[in-house]
This record gives sequence, structure tokens and C-alpha cells, in this order.
Amino acid sequence: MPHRSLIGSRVRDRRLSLSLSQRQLAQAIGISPSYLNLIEHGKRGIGAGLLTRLADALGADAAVLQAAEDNALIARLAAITPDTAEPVEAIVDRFPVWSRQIAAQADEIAELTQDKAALTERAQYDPALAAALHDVLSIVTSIRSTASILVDGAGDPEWEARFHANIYNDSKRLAQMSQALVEYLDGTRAAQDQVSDAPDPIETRIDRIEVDRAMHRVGSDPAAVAKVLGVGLADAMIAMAGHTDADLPQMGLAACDGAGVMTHYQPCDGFMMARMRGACPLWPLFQALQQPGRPMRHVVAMTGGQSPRLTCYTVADRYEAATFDASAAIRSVMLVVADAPSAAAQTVGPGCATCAAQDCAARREAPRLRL
Amino acid sequence: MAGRVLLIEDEPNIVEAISFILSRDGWTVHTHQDGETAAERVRALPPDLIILDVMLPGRSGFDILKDLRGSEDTRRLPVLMLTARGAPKDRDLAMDLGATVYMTKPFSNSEILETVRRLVEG
Repeated sequence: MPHRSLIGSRVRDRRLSLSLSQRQLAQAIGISPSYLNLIEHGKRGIGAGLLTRLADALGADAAVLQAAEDNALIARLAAITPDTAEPVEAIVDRFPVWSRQIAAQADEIAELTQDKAALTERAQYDPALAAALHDVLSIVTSIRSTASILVDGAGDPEWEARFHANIYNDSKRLAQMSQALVEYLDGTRAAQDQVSDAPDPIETRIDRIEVDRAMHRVGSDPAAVAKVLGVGLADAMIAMAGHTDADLPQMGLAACDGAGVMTHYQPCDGFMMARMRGACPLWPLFQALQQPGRPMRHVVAMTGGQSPRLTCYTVADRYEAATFDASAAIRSVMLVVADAPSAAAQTVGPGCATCAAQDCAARREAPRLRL
Repeated sequence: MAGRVLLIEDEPNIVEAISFILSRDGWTVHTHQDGETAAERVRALPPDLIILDVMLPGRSGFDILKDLRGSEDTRRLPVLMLTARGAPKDRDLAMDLGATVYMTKPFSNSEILETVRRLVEG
């Protein structure tokens, strides 16, 4: 939500400049790290009391942080309605509540637009969802065609009874399929919310421009990029996934904690992992957890045969400074590059619930959308 | 002049509906539901026109079409592709492989009847 994200960005920038982790700052102001994560990403607003505590903990002026929010709202409204007769500043000043409401609605529209794009992309790369949608269309076709025959009159009572039975059976299947689709899509949305609420263990302070430059110099090999940047392999991979240069290959990123729970997911063309009921365990992301510190490179192809081949660079490492009194916080990070190499590839799926592969030894449940 | 139509489709109620409307119009309709053996069935008949689904068990309609266009006996046989896959890339692929008409589901009965008449009777 852009009108909140500026204050969140300021909090995040200030925290990083003080070398504070989310956990440390959250503890200092009495909120959970996940709630602070939401604030920093503009997904939660900040009340007056919390703003004061944050400002104190960060050694910043609360008024400066508040002004950031007001300025962000003005910028947001100016972007939505560029041709107002009255200056946007004056509108925000006279109608602060309405201004916030308009900005919030615009954000909601933007989110729905993103959801729609994600679902369209999903249908392209999710074999089970695509198959389910095709099944729905086939059932609808059957009902339409049969109903049309009955409207015109089949001319034979036996045939008419048969077509009535067909319509009844098809409508039952359609209801079941629709229900399964709603549950599936609702579950996907809930899983996305859960992931975005989680603390983000993949922060990077590496300058994006430096990353772009390094990649232009040495290519897409994370080891070479890490060497140029003078950082660890996982940090280099995280930074590479955020590159902003359209001339560089598209990259996706996934990260999980030591228990294999996905904490970050950034898809790219042809790369898709399910999170609702668990991703496919064959992804190198999970294999790397068995050998922390050992970089791995795999070429994979997703089930369904429609997607390009992907190169996966994976490493598991410790992501917080080691202490004597706490267990190691391990993460696995996987950078996915859609560079379509022609090498032999191992097959992976998005996750059992959405995977069309048959006879897979790693399958833990049947596909959810096949009826 | 009505002729012989081979309907290759695995959705039984669609098979029943299309068979009914074509039969009522005077066409002799043969049906086949398996992708793997579909090309053999075409050669064994052979029909005046094929109505071909894309997503079939065993083998996709695209592969079957490619096979038919690669054989002298079936190179010019009219093929009406009937599918739920409406994406432009699928349509382009079908036309590149030699489909005569590409029709997406859901279709109307009159649409399919008129297309069959046009493709066979000219």
C-alpha cells in the first residue's frame, strides 16, 4: 500500500542504518517481529502511540515520520487523479478522511489487478489448475449443447430422458468442480497472506545498482557475482533476484527456514511453487537443508512440459550471528534463472496438490482438482 | 451430401450430444475416445472429416494432427479442432500444424453443424 509504504521504508532504512534486526527493534517497542515486518512493508498502519515509541527507539523525530505518511498520501492521490482543478495538498488538507479512503480503494483495486494477473499466470504454469479449468469448460459445453438439443426437441422420449440425465450429472460435476476451485483458490490466497505475514529473513543491504553492474560484468553465476560484491553466496543470490535491469534474465527466488517452511517466494516465468499445502519436496531448496554451506546447482523442468528449463542455484546457511545461548537459525535460499539451458533436467512440480505427475515417489497427496 | 465424421473426444456427454445433432442431420458419426490409437482409427475408416479434441488420454490432439499431416493419405483430410484451450498460442500451434478450423468450447450446436457442412460439402 503505497501511502503507508513510505513511513515503513523510513522505519526500515533507519533500522538498518542502526544495524538493528527486526527482532531487536520489535522487542524494544513491544510488538512482534512479524507485525514490524508488516509495518515496514506498508501492510499495517501506525497509531500515534506506536509512532512515538518507534521514533524513540530509532532516535528519530515522530513528526518527520508522520510527515512522511502525509507526503506519501499526497503523492498517491496525485498519481490517481493527476488533473484536479484544486491542488492535491489542499484536497488532503480539507478532506483527510476521504483522501485516505480514496487512496485505500485505489490500493485495493491495484491488489485485485495483481491477483487477476497472478491467476492468469497461474493458469499458464499450474498444470492442475489449467486442467481443472479445461474440465469446467468441457462440462459447460456439454450442458449447453445438451440443453440446446432439448430446447429444440429431441423428438424421441428415450433420447430426451437420456439428455435430461446427462444434464443432471454434468451439473452435479460442475458444482463439485466449482466448489473444489473455490477452496483451492481461497487456500492459495490464505497461504499468500501467511507467507507475507512472516518475518523476512532475506533482507539485503546490497545496492541494486551494484548488483546490476556485477551481473553485467560476470553474468548470472551467483558465485562470480558474490566474489565481485564481496558478500556471501546467499546474500548475492537474494540481491540478484531483485535486479531491476530488463536486459538481464528473469529470476525467481525462494527461501525456507530450517523446518522447510517457505518464508519467501518470488516467481518468474516458468517457476512456480505451491505453498498452501507444501511445495514439491524435490526442489533443490529443500535438498540444500541437508548439507548447509554446500552450494548446489541443478537444472530442472516443471511437470506439464509447457515451461522453460530453469537453473536453480541453492545454498543453505546461518542467517543470524551465532551466539552461545541460542540455536542456529538456518535458512535455505534458491535463486531460479529462466535461462532455458538445453542440458538434461530433473523434473519437479509446484506441489502435490497442483501437480499432474503420476507415479511420483515423493507424492504425499492426490491432486486436489481432479474429479 | 452427408458423409462420415469421426469424432475424437473423451468427454462422453459431449460425444453423445454432438453425435446426436450430426446424426439427425444425416451424418454417419463414428466416435473414438483414446488419443494413443486415434490415428490408426482414422486410417482404418477413413472419414470425410475429423472432429478432434486437444486434451485426450494417451496422446494430445496436436500430436495426432501432426501425425495425420505427415501422412500422404490424411494430409488433406479436413480437421476441425474442438478444444477448451482458447489461448492464441494454442490456436496458432493448431493452425501451424494444419488444422482446418479451430473452434473453442463452449460452442453452439448450430455453429458446429454449419462448420461440418461447410468443410465437407464446400
